[in-house]
Amino acid sequence: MLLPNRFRYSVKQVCNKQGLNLPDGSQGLNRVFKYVALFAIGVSSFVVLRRMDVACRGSSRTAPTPKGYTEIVTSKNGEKFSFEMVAVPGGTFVMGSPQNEPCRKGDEGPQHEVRVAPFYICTTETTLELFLAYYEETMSAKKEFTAAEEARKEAEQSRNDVDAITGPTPVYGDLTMGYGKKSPAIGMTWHNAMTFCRWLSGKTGRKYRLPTEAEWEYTCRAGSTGGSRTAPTCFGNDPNQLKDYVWYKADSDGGPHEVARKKPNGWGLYDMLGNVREWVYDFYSPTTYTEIAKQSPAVNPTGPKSGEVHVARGGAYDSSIEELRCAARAFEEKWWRMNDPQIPKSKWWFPQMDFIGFRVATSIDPNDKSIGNQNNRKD
Amino acid sequence: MSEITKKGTSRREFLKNTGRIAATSALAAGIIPRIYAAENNTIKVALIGCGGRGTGAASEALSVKNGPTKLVAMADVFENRLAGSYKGLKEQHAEQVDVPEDRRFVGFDGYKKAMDCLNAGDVAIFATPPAFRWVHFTYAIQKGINVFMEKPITVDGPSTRKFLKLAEESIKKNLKVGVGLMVRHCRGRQQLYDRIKSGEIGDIVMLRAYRMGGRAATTGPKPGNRSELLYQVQRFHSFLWASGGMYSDYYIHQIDECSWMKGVWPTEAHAIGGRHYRGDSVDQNFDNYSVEYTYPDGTKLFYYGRNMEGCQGGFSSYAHGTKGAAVISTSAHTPGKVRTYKGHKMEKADLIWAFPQPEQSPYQLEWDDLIDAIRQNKPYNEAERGAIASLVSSMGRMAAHTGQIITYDQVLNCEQEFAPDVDKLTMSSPAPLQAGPDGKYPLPQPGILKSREY
Repeated sequence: MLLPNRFRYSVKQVCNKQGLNLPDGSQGLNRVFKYVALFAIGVSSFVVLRRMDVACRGSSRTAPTPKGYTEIVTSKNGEKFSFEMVAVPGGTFVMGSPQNEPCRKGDEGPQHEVRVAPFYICTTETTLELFLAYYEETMSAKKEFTAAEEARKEAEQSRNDVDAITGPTPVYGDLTMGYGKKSPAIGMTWHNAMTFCRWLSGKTGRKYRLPTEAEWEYTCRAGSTGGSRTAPTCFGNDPNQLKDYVWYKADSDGGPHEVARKKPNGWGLYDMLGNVREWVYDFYSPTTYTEIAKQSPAVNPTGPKSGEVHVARGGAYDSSIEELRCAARAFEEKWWRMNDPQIPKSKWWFPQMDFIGFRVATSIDPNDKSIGNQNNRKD
Repeated sequence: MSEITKKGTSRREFLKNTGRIAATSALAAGIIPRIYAAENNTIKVALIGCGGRGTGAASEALSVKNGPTKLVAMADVFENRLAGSYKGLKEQHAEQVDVPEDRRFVGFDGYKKAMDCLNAGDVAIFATPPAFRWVHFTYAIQKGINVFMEKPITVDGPSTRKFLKLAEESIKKNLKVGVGLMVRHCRGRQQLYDRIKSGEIGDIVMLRAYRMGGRAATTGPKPGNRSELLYQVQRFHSFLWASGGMYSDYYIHQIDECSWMKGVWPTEAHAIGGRHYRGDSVDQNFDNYSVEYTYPDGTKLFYYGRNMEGCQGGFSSYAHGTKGAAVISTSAHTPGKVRTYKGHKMEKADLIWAFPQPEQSPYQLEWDDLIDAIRQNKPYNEAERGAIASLVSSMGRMAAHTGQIITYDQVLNCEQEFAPDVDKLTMSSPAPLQAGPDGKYPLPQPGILKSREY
């Protein structure tokens, strides 16, 4: 074991367990770490591709994966916003955590094999500036007296007509909650995040969506195997580097930070753990894995067909390290609406809840029917 | 903000435990059965004004942990709002909602019928547009009913004069009156007040507050087949007579919390504002206000309100003293995340104190406090304070709308009463605000109309 005593001690405290048995670092992590270091030197675009290539050895490989791309969105008033999409190779991985993983919860098992098709995923959480552009173009107050009913009907007929999307109701107060433009967008419901994806799809002509829970975990693991303790899976061999990669309880100053200010994981993804929790496509059920484990491997799973609340992954700035594991699952909870003084509660916002955001994904295969058309799903 | 220590309690656990702790301390104090009511100790509640906020307030009334409460009557002028509210409450509090159809009242006189279902000592919730507060409060005082009323509670000088008299009467009758300025019940703000008072940041020399967000309180023209009165009631943020406008409704909290920390009400206001992007909206609001409030010692509160997308957002309040500064609101009303600093840059290294996170909801606390006061028969009457908070809000609004410096006495004694006959409204009454010959509702005209807002 490479973990220094200090780290072991803190994990022990959090978990309140004796005899911790932290998993060993996985194969290939030295290579990952080398490329992270290269990234810091600044050969970024070249490195991202090479790193992807190297880091993926070890997981089973399918057809050659295309390169990532830069998406550019132009708002109605001419502002341009860009973000980077990384191509994630398809492959098979073991989802969930092993029973002996410290701090593990029951809904993380049983571990099961999952095969995912190649897809693109954004290197960062969706930023406030981009989310504000969406809000400004779609917020419903603008349409309230410009034939709102017609706008709604049109929206139903043609879901990709960006002008017809009726977006959020006005947020109570200030959508930014005082955070900067490059901070992650925050406080939106799953429905709101999905509506953003529809808007973004209409703006760009590419079918954006939330990643599935399986895609998210696959991306978070970045090709590593074994347990889902943060250190050995994402951050090289030295767990003291946690702070180099993750905004969490110990170093976040009680709020989210600008995206991509820490180091990326092995596949070039920033802030997968910590900063803000990220919505994924799937409904939450504590028994999701029990069901899915009956198929082996599960192919592009999308979670339960129905449910009450959705899954949000990765922990947030206020998480302690037990939540900062690739396999840890969280979901919408009732208290997220506690600052909403109205009944019925807003369909669009969790007022002042600055720990929930999302990142976007899109399928590489344009004919992917299994998950590519999910923007039409009703919540 | 790492100063906001979480002390090992997750937000989830904290919120789970909050109710339990409140219940325990109430039990420990032995207060539950002793004081209130003769044959049973259930406090009955009537909801008057069944919109989103009223329904939320009713839910909080039914969520108190210091003794049983039950909703027994509801009133609104919109049947569909009442039905939706009933459904929402029934889903959440099935056992505590006992409102059969014959205790659901639709119409402008519904408030009387709903309060007639209560006994002296029970609670009525007033969550209609603020214009109706004095009308409803008059009846509650007559019946000896305690009240929780949403803010603002007055909309202009004349309605404030009426209200101040009513407040006196309600105190004489020992009524318990809560006003929905819930920040006053935030435990963090209460501690901050004590710290400021004890001199932690010296004497306050300046306060500033921001309420800047997207477009709000707009409204389109009345649909043809609709009652104009009901249209204005429904879109009350758009019309000064109904709500005091967006200014009063949105800004009152921070004007109140800043003045609380200062320890005194402002005596005059000087303000500018305008309508940049109102488009086709027929509302009476400006979309930006910049206000200088002056306190008796000459110090100022600078208040900035703006409702425009794409501009810098902000929803926070600060106090600056001779020895340091304080954050009164960090973003919106809750969590307050109040803290004090040695310097005015409010940097981490200069932190003196921060209220530990997470915080309880002040929307629930204001109800816990009110019910506690009723059960223990503690003096508890926020009517006067709420009326003055509403008045100084009107003072800033009037300064912006007239383009004049407006003093406390001027706004209090102002002759323009937006809706003097609001107590006589029926479903078929004409609307208090009528369109001019051009078919448009009148707007403020700073520098032209100097003693009236329209």
